[in-house]
Amino acid sequence: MKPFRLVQRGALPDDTVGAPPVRAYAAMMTRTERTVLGQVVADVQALLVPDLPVATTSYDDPLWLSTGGLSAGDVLPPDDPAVARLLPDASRDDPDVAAEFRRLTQEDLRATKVAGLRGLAQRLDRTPPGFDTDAVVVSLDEAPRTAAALTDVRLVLAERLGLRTDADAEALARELAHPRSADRPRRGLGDLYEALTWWQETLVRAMTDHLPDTDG
Amino acid sequence: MTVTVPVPVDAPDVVEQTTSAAPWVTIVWNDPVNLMSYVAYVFRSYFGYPAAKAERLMLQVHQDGRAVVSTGDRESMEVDVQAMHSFGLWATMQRSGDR
Repeated sequence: MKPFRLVQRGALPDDTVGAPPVRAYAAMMTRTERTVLGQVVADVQALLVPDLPVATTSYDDPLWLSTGGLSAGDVLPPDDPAVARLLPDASRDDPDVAAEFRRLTQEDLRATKVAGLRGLAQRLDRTPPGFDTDAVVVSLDEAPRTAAALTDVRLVLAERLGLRTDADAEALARELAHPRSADRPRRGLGDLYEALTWWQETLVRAMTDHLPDTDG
Repeated sequence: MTVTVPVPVDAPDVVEQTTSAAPWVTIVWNDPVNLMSYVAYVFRSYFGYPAAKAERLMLQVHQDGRAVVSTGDRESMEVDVQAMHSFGLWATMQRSGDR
């Protein structure tokens, strides 16, 4: 796994007219790393849409609609704390505000997140023509949604790791620094979380460099 | 959250005065997952805030546990809160008179 950098597409094999230059963020990643991350992304998608097989989910699908996607009644907060972190309460002390917000937005938000995760999975799976085939390529337009999807994956991993406070996150880093302090599943989860944190940071830094400076 | 959050205090007359006219606010809360760089990026790209303001709000979230990031009518705050949630930030909304 290597950092994201702003790159420009090379010439396409069948390019006779000179296609316009296309810039994108690209990061080298091994096939194994892509497979592992792709599986985690699929798991998070499955958490958000628990009743349907991930690969066939469509928001036009009558099956999806029948799950309550467009329910007119109360929309309940998710039971799983990791899903609840992805679809959080919009009020800490007013249950009516929180319930109204869920009713209006929860299925929209769920669909946005599933679409973002699906996009991330596609970027891990396929490199567009003209870029290094070992690179994960994220177009400038896709970058914010990709960064958001990486956040969602990290939020779920963090919940499973029990990271509730900044101190918890710092303790995890110390724990992982000791070779025998974590059991294997926790170490695997923790290493993945730390790697994704670093990887997302490189993407966000590249995106921030590309933002127009509105200070004046 | 690492920072203790004050329990809301009832202030009936203030609330009464503000229910009809006063705007609502969107609050973003600290969490251990979101990157400081990402939170600042979201404040710049979504709200269009200058880098310095985005940085200041991000540090306020990080250090104080929360920050008011936008103000407006309830519908606008619903849009902002939903946008923050779509970015993976935890945001809530309340009347600006409430504490």
